[in-house]
Amino acid sequence: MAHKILELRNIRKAYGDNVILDHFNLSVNENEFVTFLGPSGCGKTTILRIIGGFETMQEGKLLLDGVEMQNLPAHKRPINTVFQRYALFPNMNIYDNIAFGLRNNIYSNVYDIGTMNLMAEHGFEEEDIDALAKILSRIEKSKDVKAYVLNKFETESAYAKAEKRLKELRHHDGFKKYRDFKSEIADLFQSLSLPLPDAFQPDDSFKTVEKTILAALAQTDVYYQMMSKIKGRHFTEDVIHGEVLKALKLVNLEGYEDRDITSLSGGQMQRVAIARAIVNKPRILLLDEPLSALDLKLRKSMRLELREMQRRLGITFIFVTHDQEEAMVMSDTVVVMNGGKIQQMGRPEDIYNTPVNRFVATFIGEANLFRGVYSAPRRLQAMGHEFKISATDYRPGEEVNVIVEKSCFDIGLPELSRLQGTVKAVHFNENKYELEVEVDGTTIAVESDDKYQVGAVIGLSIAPGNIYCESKQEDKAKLLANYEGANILAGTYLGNQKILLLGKVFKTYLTTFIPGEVVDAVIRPEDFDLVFDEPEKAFLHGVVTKSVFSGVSFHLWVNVDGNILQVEDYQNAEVGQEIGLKIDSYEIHLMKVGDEEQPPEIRKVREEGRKMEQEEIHEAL
Amino acid sequence: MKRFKGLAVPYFVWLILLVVVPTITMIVLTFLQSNGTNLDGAYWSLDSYRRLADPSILKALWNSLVIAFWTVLFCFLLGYPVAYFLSFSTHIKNKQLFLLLLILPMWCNSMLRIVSWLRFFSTDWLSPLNLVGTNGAVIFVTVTTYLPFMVFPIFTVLEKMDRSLIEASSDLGVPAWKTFLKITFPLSLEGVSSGVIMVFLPAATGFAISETIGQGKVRLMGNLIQAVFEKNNYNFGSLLSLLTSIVILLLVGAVAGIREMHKRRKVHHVNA
Repeated sequence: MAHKILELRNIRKAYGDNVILDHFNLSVNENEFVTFLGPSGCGKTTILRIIGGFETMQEGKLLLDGVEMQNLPAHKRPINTVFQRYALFPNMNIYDNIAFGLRNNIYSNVYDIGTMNLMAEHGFEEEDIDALAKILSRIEKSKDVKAYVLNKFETESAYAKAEKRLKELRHHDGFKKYRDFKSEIADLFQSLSLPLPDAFQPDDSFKTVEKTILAALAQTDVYYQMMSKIKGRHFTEDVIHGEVLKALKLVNLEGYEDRDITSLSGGQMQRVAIARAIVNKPRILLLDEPLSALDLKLRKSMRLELREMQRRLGITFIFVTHDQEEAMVMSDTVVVMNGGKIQQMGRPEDIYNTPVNRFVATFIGEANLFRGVYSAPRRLQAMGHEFKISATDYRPGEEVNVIVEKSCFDIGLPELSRLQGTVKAVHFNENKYELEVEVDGTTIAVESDDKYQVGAVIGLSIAPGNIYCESKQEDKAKLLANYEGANILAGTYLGNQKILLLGKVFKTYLTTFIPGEVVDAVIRPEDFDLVFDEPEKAFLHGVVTKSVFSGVSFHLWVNVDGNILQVEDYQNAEVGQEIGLKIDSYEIHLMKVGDEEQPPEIRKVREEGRKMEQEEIHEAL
Repeated sequence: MKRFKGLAVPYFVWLILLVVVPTITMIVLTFLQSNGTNLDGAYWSLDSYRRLADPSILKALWNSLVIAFWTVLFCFLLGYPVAYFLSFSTHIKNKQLFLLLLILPMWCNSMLRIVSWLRFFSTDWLSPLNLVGTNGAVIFVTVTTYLPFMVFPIFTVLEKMDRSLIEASSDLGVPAWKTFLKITFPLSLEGVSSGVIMVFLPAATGFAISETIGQGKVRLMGNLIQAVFEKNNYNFGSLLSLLTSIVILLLVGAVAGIREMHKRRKVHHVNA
């Protein structure tokens, strides 16, 4: 069984009455890439900050290697963080940013690393080095490590022993010439098990003998040499220099040491932030949505890079994101969170294929979707009613998509509930009843433990934490900005997470469309995979009409049933060659299309929706 | 941008009428001997420049700089902690109110405040200390007058500072006091230098405080210039004013230069 590096037990965090995390339990294995996935306000960043030591909690325990650490301040935890906006120090260049922790942390392992390097240089056996490293890793402060190492080397050092003995002899009155203390020197060398130097004259003074012996020992005694290096003024800076260069190499930024932070691109800043964290050799690296500030193209390549880096470093990564694609691509384990609770945890493919509850399905799948207006802080106007919600990151008046999963409705007496509705249909599904409830003309899917009769009037209420909002504004412009040069294809949403595109039916993770609605599907050239063997058996196939080499990859124009698709790949295909194309369903992004291109029935539905929305806004005001 | 160029015209007119023309007039006046601004019977002369050799002028200039220096220092020592705690405190809910309290005294006429201090120093309790007429009293009153000018720019810069930098430093294992020295303070230097300039300028050139609190015993450049102008000697007065401006410009230039150098500095302790 894998070693549990981190355990979170029964964590509870609340601001007043607002419970962020409740009974949160989780254990993380060593060398694992764990992702917390969930909408904003689900508590994922809070849990990360609790692990990092930036937030306190009301209840619960944090265990690192089985030892409680919840009372340690952030600077004493062997955990480093890559911040969302990188938080690089603008008053320093890249080198100083990366060196910052090693230079200023009183618990830094500069002396540990330096000692190991020195011992390796001086030809010590690996076992001896490891044995000492183990002891040193138990010493907390780096100045204590230094003291321990120096003390340890001193007990081994022939030079130190000789120096001490000679000092004693010097104070002996009778010892003026070599002949007076010849036998003492012989004893000394016997105790050091070194051959006796016989180059001395009987008349040599004490000083000459002392000087010669020490000079000779300094030449041969490795412990003395290592000690003088460790005591040297530049020792720590030399070690740091080596470590910083190694870290820069790891993030592919060799030669950037002297650059200013302000001269870097987003991707480079990202790498510096990672280098600054991993140079301290943390046990766990926390990453707080580090890719969200990058454009999509860069984000995608950084995903793979981060994944690869994690494997190479063998450090546990805990990654936080709201982007399910990111989570799916990078993680060993995905933890889907909502309302401060873990909804599902498992391998990405398991979560994708068998979501355990409706939220997970929504977040990767399907639930109730309403239009609403964020009317005031923590207030949502939807379906003609005002709701309390936990999300705070919108502007009052901003239009939002509201998602409520089926199981999140509390059914109660109509007079005591916010919403009143009539049960229109009841289905039995996996030990639960699925009700279709009509509320003010809108049909809502509700999951219930109890059976209700068709025609019964029931009350529905929703806890603030169960309402998930999504801004509508970011839709098109933002998507297109990220998808420069992408293929935009006309398609039709068929409902049930299927779309019709290029004459084929594709799966999609998106649900926010009306069946029959015309949509634009956006697929980036690099998202296609080429199939060379038996292309006609691939889902899509076509003929290459043009091929351009960009210096890094090949840009292909592929004619698929009369549609020209842009494809980018590292492999080339000849013009005229028939090739197959594959695309993962989560890489097909859908955009809303204006009314004029919609079939009449969709236009009608939309108009009604807008009218209702207007009325709602009107009522809200 | 080009379209809005016209909007800058009023300012340029203002600048020419009230800065450029007077400056040139002053420069011309220094080479003349005239009766005030009345040019009848005026003649070219370098008399004003000869009078610069008077040791009392150098002494007044030196006095001004010393008083301004101590004022800046005390304003910094008092103002930085205020700005820091105001900006970083998690307990203060209404920071604006505290800032308001800080500038509240400025709503009262400054002359009134200065005279109040004078009366206060002359009360039965304090008069045995003989504060009136000392450099210390002048510095004290100057500090109380200009302290907000130090607090505000520092507070503004600290408010703008990304708090995640401090978290990042803590995350890298650096204790709080070291984080302050290595991150917070260096990043607030821009505010400090603005504050220094904003306090130094009025402290070095003002004359009301030294006149009232100093009771003629503390002679600064401002007092000297005022006295010369009162004697209707616009020629020498102009020269002294220009001289003061030049010295202060040089000093402010030096502060700005240090700030610029600090920005461009590339720290390198690497011995590769």
